[in-house]
Amino acid sequence: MEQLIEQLKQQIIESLNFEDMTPADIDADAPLFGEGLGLDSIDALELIMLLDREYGIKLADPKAGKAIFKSVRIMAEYIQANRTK
Amino acid sequence: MAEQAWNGQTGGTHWMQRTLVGLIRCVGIQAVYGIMHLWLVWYVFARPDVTRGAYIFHRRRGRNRFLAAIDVYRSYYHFGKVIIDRFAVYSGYRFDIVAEHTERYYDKMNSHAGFILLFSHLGNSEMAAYSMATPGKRMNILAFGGETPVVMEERAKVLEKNNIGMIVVNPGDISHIFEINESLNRGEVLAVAGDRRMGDKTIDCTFMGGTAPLPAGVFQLCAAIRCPILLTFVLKEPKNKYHIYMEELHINTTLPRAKQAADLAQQYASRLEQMALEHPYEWFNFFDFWNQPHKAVK
Repeated sequence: MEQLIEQLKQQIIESLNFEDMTPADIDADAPLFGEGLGLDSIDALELIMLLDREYGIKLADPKAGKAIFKSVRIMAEYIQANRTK
Repeated sequence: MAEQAWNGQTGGTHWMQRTLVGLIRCVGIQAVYGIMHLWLVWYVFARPDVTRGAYIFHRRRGRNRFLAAIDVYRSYYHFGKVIIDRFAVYSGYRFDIVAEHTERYYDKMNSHAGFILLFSHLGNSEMAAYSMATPGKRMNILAFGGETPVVMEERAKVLEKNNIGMIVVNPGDISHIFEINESLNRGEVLAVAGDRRMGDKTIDCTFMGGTAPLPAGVFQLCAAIRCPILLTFVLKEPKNKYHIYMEELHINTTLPRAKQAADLAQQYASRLEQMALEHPYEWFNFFDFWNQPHKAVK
């Protein structure tokens, strides 16, 4: 799980173009939206596309999607349970 | 100090808007255009903020104070007609539509891939949706959640008959992003305005001799999704006609990713400027377009 979290942090940094950040700068348990990383709706789109591209996970339900994007750890747990590639 | 931005609502109370639909059905659209003058004279003085916004646009295009003041009235008259036309469609009225360079549009409508239809508040873009929607491909209009209930309700009814849905953007919520992604994955069309604020973030663009903030989210969305983008203008002509102009915009993939949305926004702004100068009375962004509260992104 920890390895997947680190990989996911790296992918988030690349997808969202956080040039000055390293995986160590992201708290796996901090909220991604609002406080914490403070992502916006376009960042959410990048995360949706990241899950589809890298893990074959398609998120269509906004309610479920928002629950998954609570933190990097929750995303990683969802990926582990639902990945198709 | 930045001025208050347009709140995104079509004016009038529930009762007034219902009356308008009834009036069009009873006396016909030309008579309603005539009656509108009474309302326009009142509106010029009743909404000084809106009048000032329209005046700023005409001054920006080089009109002197006197001519700009007359042009405000002419803009209001055109805007009134477009609003009446919108309600006329709700009551079943049909307009003649002339469309140019629509081959790409119909190619895309016949393909299985999704694409973005980028429109503006120059003219009456909603008319294109009604006339160019097809039963085989659903279109979704990205709508600001702040419209008055009657407009949303009437619009939703007519839109649905034409296989058009609405994806509503509510500030602070990301639900619309899931809906957008899913609809484009299904090969549907997303119609979105590039000249109205959606959220706080903006991209500064050169526009009519100044710098104007365009909504960053719209262009970042286009740049992120990387599907084809068709820019569309729908302009009113005399005798109940509308003219549709279409062209494809391209993401400049040679630029760094962070700059691609800004480049697309500037392509849009440049084309919007050209069309606005050619059709100045169809400019319906009645607020100080250049001085809106914003947070520019780099």
